[in-house]
Amino acid sequence: MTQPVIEYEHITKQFWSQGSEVTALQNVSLTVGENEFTSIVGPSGCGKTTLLRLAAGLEDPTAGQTVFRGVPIDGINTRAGYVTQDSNLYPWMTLRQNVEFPLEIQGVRAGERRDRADEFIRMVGLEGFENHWPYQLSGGMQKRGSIIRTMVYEPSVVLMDEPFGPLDAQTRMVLQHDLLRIWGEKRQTILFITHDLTEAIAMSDKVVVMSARPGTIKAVYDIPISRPRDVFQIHNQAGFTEVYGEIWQTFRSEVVGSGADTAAAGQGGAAAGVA
Amino acid sequence: MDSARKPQVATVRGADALPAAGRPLRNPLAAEQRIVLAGQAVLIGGLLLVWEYAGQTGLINVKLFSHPSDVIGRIWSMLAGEDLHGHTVFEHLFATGQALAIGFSIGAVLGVVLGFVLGRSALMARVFEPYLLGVYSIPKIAIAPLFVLVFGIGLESKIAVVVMGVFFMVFFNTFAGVVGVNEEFVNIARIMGARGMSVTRRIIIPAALPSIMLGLKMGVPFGVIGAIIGEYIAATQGIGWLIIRSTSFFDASGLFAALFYLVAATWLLSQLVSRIEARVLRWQPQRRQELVTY
Repeated sequence: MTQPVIEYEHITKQFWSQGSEVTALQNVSLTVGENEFTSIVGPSGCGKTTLLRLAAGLEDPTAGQTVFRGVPIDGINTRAGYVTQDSNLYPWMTLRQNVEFPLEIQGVRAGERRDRADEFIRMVGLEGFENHWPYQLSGGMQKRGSIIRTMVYEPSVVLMDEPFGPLDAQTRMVLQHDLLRIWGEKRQTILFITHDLTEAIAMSDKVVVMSARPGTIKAVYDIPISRPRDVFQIHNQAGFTEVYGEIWQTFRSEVVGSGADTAAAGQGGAAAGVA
Repeated sequence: MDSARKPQVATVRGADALPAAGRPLRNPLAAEQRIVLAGQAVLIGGLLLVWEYAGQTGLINVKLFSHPSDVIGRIWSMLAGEDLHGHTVFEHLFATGQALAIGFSIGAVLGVVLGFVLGRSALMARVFEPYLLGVYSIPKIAIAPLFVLVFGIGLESKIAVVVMGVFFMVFFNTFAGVVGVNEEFVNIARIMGARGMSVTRRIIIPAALPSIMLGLKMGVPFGVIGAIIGEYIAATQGIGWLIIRSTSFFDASGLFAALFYLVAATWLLSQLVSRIEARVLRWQPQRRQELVTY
C-alpha cells in the first residue's frame, strides 16, 4: 500500500438528535493511501458524509482520531479540497470568479489566476460561460464548476461528497469521465462518497462498503479493472462483472437488509438492474 | 418594477397560448399590462372627477376637503416658487431630505454593523434581544418628544427620529440575513484557506446582501415617516411642518399639494434604492417581489 494520507483511527461519532443520542459511526478504522481513488459506498444515513467532514475538520470525533499526513486533525483542514453534495458555487460570483476564488485566497496574481481558471474551465467544456452567474448554468454545469473550483488550486487530497448525486444518468457519466481525466493528469488522492455502486467501481482503486447506521466498515475491495477506464462502457470492461457481483453480495445485505431504509434499497436495486 | 424579468415570464406564459400557425405571436402579458394600466387610469380619473364634482357643487366643504383643480393649481404655484411660510416647497423638501439623508445613513450603518455583530455571535444576540425588541416596540411618536428635549427643536431631533425608524428595519433584516448565511459557503471558503476578514468580505457580506438591501428598501418609508413625525413635533421648516402649518391655517389645498410633493419625493427615493438593489443583486435569478408598496 502507498503512503497513508488519511487515517481514521477507531472513530466513533455520536450526535444529539431530538433529545436522543444517535451513533453515526461506530469504531471506524480506515486508511486512504496517497494517489489512490477511494470510494465509500453505503446506505443513506450510514455516516459517509460524517467521515468526509471529519477529514475536512468540520466535525470532531466523539472517540478516536483522524490523522492527516501523520498529524491528528484539529480544526479546519486547509490541506484537503472539499466538494460538497450541492454544487454550492457562490451565487454572487460569475463562473470564472468562482473558479478564481481559491487562487485569490492563496494570493495568486490576477493574470495567472485568470489563466489557470480558464484552463480548467476549458478542460470541462465550459468555455463561453466564464461570465455567467451560477443560476444561468444547468445543474451539470454548476457541478463541473464546483469540481474545477476545488481542482484549480491543486490540493493534493480531494474529498468529494456524492458530487454527482442529483444529476441524470448521462450527465453523470460525462462528469465521471471528466473527473477521471483530471485525476489521470494530476493523480490527487481522492476520497469519494457515493451511494451508487457502479459509479464507485467505475472510478476507484478501492471501494469501501459501509453498514447501515451505526456506520461501520463492512469490507474494503481493491478494484482490479485496468486504467484508463471507459465509464460509458464500464460494464464491458474486463473484471467489472466479477467485482460488481462480489461487492454487491456485501452491499446488498446492508441496503436491502436494513428495512428502515427502503429508499436506499431502491437505489441498490436500480444499480443491480443496470448491472 | 423589474422590467428585465418580464419578457422571460411572458415567453413561458406565451408558450401555453401558442396561436395557430401563421398568425404572429402576441404577448398576452403585454395585453394584460395594458388592461391593468387602463384600470388604474380609470380609477384615479374617476376619483378625481367625483371629488371635483363634489367640490364644485358644494357636496363637500372645500374648506376642509378642497378639490382637484385647486390642488393642481397649488402644486403648480408651489413649483413656480410660492412662498410657504418663508420658504419655497423645494426648501421644505430639502429640509426634510437633509434630515432623512443624514438619519438614514446613520441608521443604516448602525443597523448593518449591529446586525453583523449579533448575527455572528449567538451569545451577544441573546443578551441584546430583549432590549432591542423593547425599544423597537416603543412607538416613535411616543419617544420623539424626548428627542426634542435632548436635541432641541430642529435638525438634530428630526435626525434622531429618522435613525429610530431606519435602524430597526436595517438591523432586523441584516441580522436575519447574516444568521441565514449557508454555513457550507463559509466552510468551503475556510477549507480553501480563507480566514477572518476575507470570509466576511467575500462570503458573509454578499450572502447577506439581499436581506440588507431589503432592510434598506423598507427603511426608506420608515425613515420618511420618522422625518415627518419629527417635523410634526419639533421643526421650523420641512414638508411635515408645512403639512401641520397648512392644517392649522385651514389651507386644505396647500396640504394636499404638500402631500403630493411628499409622495412624489418618496417614490423617487424608493425607485433610486430599487435601482441600486437591482444593480448590486444582479446575480440573483429572480429578484424578490416588492414587499413595500406605496
